[in-house]
Amino acid sequence: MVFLRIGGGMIGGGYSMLPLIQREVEQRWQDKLVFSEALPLAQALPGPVAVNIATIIGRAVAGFGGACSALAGVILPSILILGLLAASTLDWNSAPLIAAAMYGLRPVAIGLIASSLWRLRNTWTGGVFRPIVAGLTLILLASGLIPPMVLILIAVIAAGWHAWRTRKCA
Amino acid sequence: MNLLTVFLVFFKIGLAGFGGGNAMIPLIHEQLVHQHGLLDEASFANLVALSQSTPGPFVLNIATWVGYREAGWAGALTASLAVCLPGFVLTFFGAMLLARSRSNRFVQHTLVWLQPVFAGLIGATVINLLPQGIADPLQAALALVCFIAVGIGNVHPMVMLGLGALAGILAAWPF
Repeated sequence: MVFLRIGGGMIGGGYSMLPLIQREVEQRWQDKLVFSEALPLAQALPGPVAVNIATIIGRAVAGFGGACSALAGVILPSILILGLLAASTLDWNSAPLIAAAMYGLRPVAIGLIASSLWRLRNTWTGGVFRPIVAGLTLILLASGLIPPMVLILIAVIAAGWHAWRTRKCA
Repeated sequence: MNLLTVFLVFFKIGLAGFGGGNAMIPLIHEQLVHQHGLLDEASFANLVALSQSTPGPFVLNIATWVGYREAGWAGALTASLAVCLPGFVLTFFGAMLLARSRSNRFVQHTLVWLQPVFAGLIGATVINLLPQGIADPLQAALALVCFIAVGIGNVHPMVMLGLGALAGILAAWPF
């Protein structure tokens, strides 16, 4: 039930709603799980972060059934709203009002995505290694040399390998 | 496109999409625009903007839209479930392992590597969308103001989306 509300209130991408989820978790289920421990796992696994975090919380609260209902709560608003929009809008440019609104929304969407980059800035502490990895990713992707899927696969394998080695030493 | 293909395309996006919505855009772009030709560049930029400005997780909004366009309500449901499925299953079992602090540290170490890759993916998204989203000084100004207000000033994204839509409508007035 709570995730239905969060899903419905979530606008502008996953990261803008994480504080919202955190507040709900701390108020209701503080005894069941610690939010700051759940977040890294949700980010390190594939898939939308909102879906992953919902799964973890749902499972901690009420097992498999809880995970399923959390998932349903996150999915439902999207399906209803976007399904209705897809059913109603025939063409982006069919109505001048919609076309004009989209004209203004496109650059704002880019600004939003860029601002999420700014929020990752705590990534840059700790030497030159991370900026180099990020820069390399950017160049390879933007130039179209490597398909994103291959690049992600390489990164995941490298990350797993490095994490494995660090764990042994620790 | 039949239901099975819709399922497979979005399952693949869900499985390979690390780092959440914004970092998943290059992958979605490659699959939908290049591999399967479901959308052209302009429609894709519009869809990204629409998905940002409607409630619900961004990736799910895209999946629902494309799924509906390809195969109606069944397609919308299939695409949304398919894109969630890998994350759902992996997170569910991952959460079981998380109880042990050792595996928690493993996750932290993995993120040290993945986070800069996410940053690179998001950067590439911005570069890819630029030609579609910013064509004149007004749009450039909107993007810049939004970046500063949301990124540095902690303004809620909804405020900027409202302003953007309003600015677009006012600029085109009277129709």
